Amino acid sequence: MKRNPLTLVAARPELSFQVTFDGTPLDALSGQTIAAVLWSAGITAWRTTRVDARPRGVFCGIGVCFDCLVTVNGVPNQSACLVPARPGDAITTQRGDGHGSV
Amino acid sequence: MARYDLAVIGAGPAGLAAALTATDEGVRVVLIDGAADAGGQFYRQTAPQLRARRPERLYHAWSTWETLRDRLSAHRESGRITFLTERHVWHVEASADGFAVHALVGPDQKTSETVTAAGLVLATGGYERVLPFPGWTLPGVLTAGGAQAMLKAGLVLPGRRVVVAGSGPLLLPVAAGLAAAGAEVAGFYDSSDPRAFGKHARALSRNVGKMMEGAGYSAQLARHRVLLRFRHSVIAAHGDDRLYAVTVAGPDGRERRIECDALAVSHGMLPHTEIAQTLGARLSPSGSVAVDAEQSTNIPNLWAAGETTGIGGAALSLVEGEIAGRSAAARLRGSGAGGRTSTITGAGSAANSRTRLRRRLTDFATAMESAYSAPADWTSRVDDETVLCRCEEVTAASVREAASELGATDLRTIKLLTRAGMGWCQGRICGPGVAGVAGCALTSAPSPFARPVPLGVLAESPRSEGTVL
Repeated sequence: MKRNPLTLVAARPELSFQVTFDGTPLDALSGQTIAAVLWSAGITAWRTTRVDARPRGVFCGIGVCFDCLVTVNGVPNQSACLVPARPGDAITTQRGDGHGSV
Repeated sequence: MARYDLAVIGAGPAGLAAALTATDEGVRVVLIDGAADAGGQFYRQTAPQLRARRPERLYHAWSTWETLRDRLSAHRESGRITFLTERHVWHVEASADGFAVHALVGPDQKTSETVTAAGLVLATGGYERVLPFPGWTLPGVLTAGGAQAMLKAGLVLPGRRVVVAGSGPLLLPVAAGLAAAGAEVAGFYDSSDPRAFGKHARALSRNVGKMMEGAGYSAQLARHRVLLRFRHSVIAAHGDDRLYAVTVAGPDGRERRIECDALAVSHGMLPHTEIAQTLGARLSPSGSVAVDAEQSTNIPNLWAAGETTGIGGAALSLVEGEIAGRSAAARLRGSGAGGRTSTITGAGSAANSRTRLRRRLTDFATAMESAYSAPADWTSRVDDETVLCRCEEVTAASVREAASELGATDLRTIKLLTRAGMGWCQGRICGPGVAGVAGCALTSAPSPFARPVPLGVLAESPRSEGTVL
């Protein structure tokens, strides 16, 4: 089997569960952030910018840049690289400031 | 409001060393960090629910971490140290009897809590500098440290085919980690000139451990058939809704296009100095927090250690933290905080050896700093359409106009004219890029808040006398 990060460190995740991204079900592992879950599914963008509606995803990965903001369960402006995924989370692409004004 | 002898902000190598050393010497310590676990960026821990049975494969100097971790848990169990995790410090106030540290709680950061302490150690670390280039806002382009943090914490990769580029000592471990975890490293490009390292032979040869660390990463990458190319820079990233290629330029000016789905890029590190500046601590000419031989700042009972006092790596941070912790314990006990005398035998000679080690590692960091260099012509590669301020979407054209036609000569004026640096990140990310393109100095004005704060939290905050919020 091709090596991946989980096999490298011999991970035995406690729990796997599902979340949705814009309605599509995705597999998630407990302990992973929203950004990690989206990356695992090959998704790299989950926000469009306020001015030019350009796609954005993770940039700094440590909660400094605020590029990875996303809407989780209807609450916008969550840092995807910090917020842990929880079973049943409905993650949606955040458009602009996430308040539906753009 | 809980009160302690010493508060330590940051639980990376410097903060851990400071907190553990001060606790060993009988001082009541509260350690505060934004993450769910100790470790900082260097020892950022994999989420425990992922149950990594061989975590050491993702880290350098794992045994050092095990020692720190075990000392911390022993002190926590005995109640001598309080460790507050997932606390994002947004403001620190100085008062007659010490410091009040205000922090937002948890990942959603909706509420604030306050701890007070007679003394404070700032071990707030550093963050990456990324110089802008056309396409750097595409999804798939991210900081090298961010790729490493996501890998260590969540066991995920940014893509299948990753290019690692920029300049600085961080690129090697990042590339080695990504390759070990199964990513195809499609290219490694550092703009620095290897000949520059020859000028620092003495500092390098006296730090065999650090040199071996670099050699180890290089050997690892060689096993994965990754060629290390120096004097090469990524000059553009290409894609529509995500990255699909980068253009790399070599020393002869020849360009080549590399297909990839992720670019991990970084041009060195900058110290986090916001809190120190808010408290009135002096900065050195290089922009880090200025400290004396005991890691003391110019503010009474305020110490700083680690990357915030100058970028130097984890080993240097550990030594600085230890020196700061010992100094803090001695001073705070002297002022009636504990009253216990040192139990460390031979403390004098131990302190001398710490000072010598700090000197040697600082020399190494200085050599690294001057040997690694960003591409000299990077601003000319930034076309007018390139977005410099990622938060406010301010283009290079706007910044150039502010500088050349409107006469702005400093970052603050450029911010007022263009909004560059006014967004969520408060200019942390775009500062170096905007300053470079505008041709002005990278200065950071002290800001009252170290991070964005919900209005509800501000409304509820008790105001101390004489503090302007």
